[in-house]
Amino acid sequence: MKEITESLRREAARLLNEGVELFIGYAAGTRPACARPFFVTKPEEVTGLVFDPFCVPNLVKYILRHADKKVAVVVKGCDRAAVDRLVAERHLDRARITLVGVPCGGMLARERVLAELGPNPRIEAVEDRGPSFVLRVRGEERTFEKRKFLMEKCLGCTRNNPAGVDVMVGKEAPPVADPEYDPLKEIRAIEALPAAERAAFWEKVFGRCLRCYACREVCPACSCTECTFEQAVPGWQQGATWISKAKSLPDNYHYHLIRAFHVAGRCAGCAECERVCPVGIPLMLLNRKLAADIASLFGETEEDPCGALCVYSLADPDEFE
Amino acid sequence: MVLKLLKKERLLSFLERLMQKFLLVAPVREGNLTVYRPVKAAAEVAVDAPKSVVPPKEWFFPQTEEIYRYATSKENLVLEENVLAPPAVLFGVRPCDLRSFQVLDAVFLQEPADRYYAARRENTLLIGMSCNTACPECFCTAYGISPLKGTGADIHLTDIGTAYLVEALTPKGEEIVLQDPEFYEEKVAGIDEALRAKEQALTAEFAVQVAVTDLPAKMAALFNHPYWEELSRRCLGCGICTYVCPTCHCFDITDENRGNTGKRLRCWDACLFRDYTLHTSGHNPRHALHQRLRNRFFHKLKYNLDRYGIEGCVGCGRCVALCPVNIDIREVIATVRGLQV
Amino acid sequence: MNKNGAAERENSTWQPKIVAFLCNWCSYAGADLAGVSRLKYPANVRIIRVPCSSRVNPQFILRAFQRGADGVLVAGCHPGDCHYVTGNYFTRRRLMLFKRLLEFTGFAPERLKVRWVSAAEGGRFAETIKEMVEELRDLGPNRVMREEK
Repeated sequence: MKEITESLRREAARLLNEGVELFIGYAAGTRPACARPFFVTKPEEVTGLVFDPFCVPNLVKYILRHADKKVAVVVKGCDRAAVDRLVAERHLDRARITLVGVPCGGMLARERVLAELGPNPRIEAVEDRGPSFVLRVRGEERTFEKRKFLMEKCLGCTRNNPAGVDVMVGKEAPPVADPEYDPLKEIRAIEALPAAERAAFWEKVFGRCLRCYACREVCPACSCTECTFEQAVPGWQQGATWISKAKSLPDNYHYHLIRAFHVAGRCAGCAECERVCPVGIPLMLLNRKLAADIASLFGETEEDPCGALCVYSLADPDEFE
Repeated sequence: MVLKLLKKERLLSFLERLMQKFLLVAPVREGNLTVYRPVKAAAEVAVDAPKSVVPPKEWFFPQTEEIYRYATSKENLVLEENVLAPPAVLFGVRPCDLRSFQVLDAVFLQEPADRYYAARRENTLLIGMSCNTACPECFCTAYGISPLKGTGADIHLTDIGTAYLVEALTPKGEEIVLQDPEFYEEKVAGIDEALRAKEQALTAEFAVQVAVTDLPAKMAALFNHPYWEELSRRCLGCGICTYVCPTCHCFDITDENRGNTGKRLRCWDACLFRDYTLHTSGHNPRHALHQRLRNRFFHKLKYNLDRYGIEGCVGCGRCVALCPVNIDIREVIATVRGLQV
Repeated sequence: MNKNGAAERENSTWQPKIVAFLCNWCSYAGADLAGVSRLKYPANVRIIRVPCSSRVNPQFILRAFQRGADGVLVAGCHPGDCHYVTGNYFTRRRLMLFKRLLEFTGFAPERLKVRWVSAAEGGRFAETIKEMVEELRDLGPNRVMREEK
């Protein structure tokens, strides 16, 4: 990964010298096997930039906070789609942003890697060897087979080399998708359950929700300036809002169904919502289920860049009598 | 102080005995998560479970708490208040979380005391549990907390291999331990040395050693430093760090009205939320994210010490482990101490 | 259905509650026609008039379930007959998807019904309510998402 990191730093320095005011990339985090969003404004700061299989965060949403600046942002293939969405919805001016694409060999699932290496390893170097990543820990090489150690979102990924970027860094990466991976397996298993058991499953996971709203805050498709769940009113008026500040199962349900439905047809599949959830709610099950239904009901082609629910077709199935 | 040994195989009967008199609130495993909740059978208790995501403060200060309910009719208004405080045992509390109760006590028990919190605190027996491992995010020793000491607990257990060292630290705890002498054995020689060695080994496992001296003065001088804006660039503005924090205690009061009946509820709030401190007029003194993030660190590292004489952080590392964008309070502390005023 | 539901159903006083969102131009007029034609249908329905079926935010449906509805009906003009030309095409797409999401998360499919009812179809409106009441009686009270009293 050394080469990508080096050319990323070179490109960042060049862009900053050529008038880009803010370069958004990744830096090493304070915890092992963890990267953090990193904001560079001066060419001499580019030495902090890195790229490795722990650079999971999707940086696209940060562009929204800098509407007045010329911004360059590092995108992986899965992050890339979110940009088109925000441009289509006129949140972003494509001409103002420079997309710096990185070829992605897949992202490693942190917990699984740490389960192998112990809780606090010092990872000295990472190398992408195609079907596996090799991590050097205390001078020793440890091999992590991608099929076993990639994040779930990577196993079905067919876009690990981002298309339509302004600058591409490094060589094209070989495909990462595992041909045996079935993204709908769990979804079908839930669908096969009787209604009461399905409800029990979701009651359990939604019941855990703390309503910290991290899934919303991180989501590049959640781009409303005011969220329907955040009509800020004083406490005594909160009865008029969609959900109460009080935590309850019905409101948790309401939040999650509507969150998923609001991003239906617009979700780019970056899986950030699921990654950030502190209590492990499988949000991608909802997102993937909706995406699969949209594809099977309305076809893969989407005429409107704002998503499948902003359009209709006379040829849509008419299952309602 | 009463010191005894409890053989590990007797722990279950020890818990069952407690359950005869008390509601047992203890760590249990739910999938990959540890949660503190009332248990129906002692066997559910996950004694060696990793740290919970939501701290046990939830037992004293739940995320949503009914203050009272009301019903109105043409003639009158009926208010009904239920302070729920069953006799309970909160079992398996780690030393950092034990300290957090002292922090919360300072807030909720100062006059006039919060009677919901006070009633549960009063009716709950605290049983602490020493740590066996250090999480990579832990730094409790920075605040003078020992991962093996049960300060604040009524009874404290420490794993010493085949048995637990049982320390009854308060009269309430002693009463519990002394009522069933047949459970215990006498303390054997050499334990103190072994514990000292274990404490050193655990502390050495901490990935980052944190020093917290001089923080309040340093913080005061840095209120307007550009660092806070820089730090907030990657902050998502979600509520994870505050909701998993054992000492965060901000709340909001909300009414849920359903026709002629309703409830007044007290709910956790988070300083990172946009509507935190939003005034009815529409003005918000902390309208920008960096102001709210700064407030969080000032509250932890300065305001709490100024107001109550106890730090607002216990070094449990939950916020460090769960922040999706790696805002690390250990790093913030180090940076603040190193910044030029 | 859980035990409580069964017990409540046994208890003959339980009646399913239906919230019906009816489009002003077709279905509300259809319900009106059912009334003036003196057609009999069960009184289990509470009607909310909306300008168009596409005005029905899915959150309305969830709120109805939260506050005690056992079933929700959304009715609008037949596809092609929308007063606003295209509104009900959006409804169709949106609610087809939303219904699947509800089913996926534990609702019985009968709980949400979408029907096209024109202003001339008073009989069809009455039939729809009868049919829903029967189906919901078999299912028992809804528990998913419902607020405790």
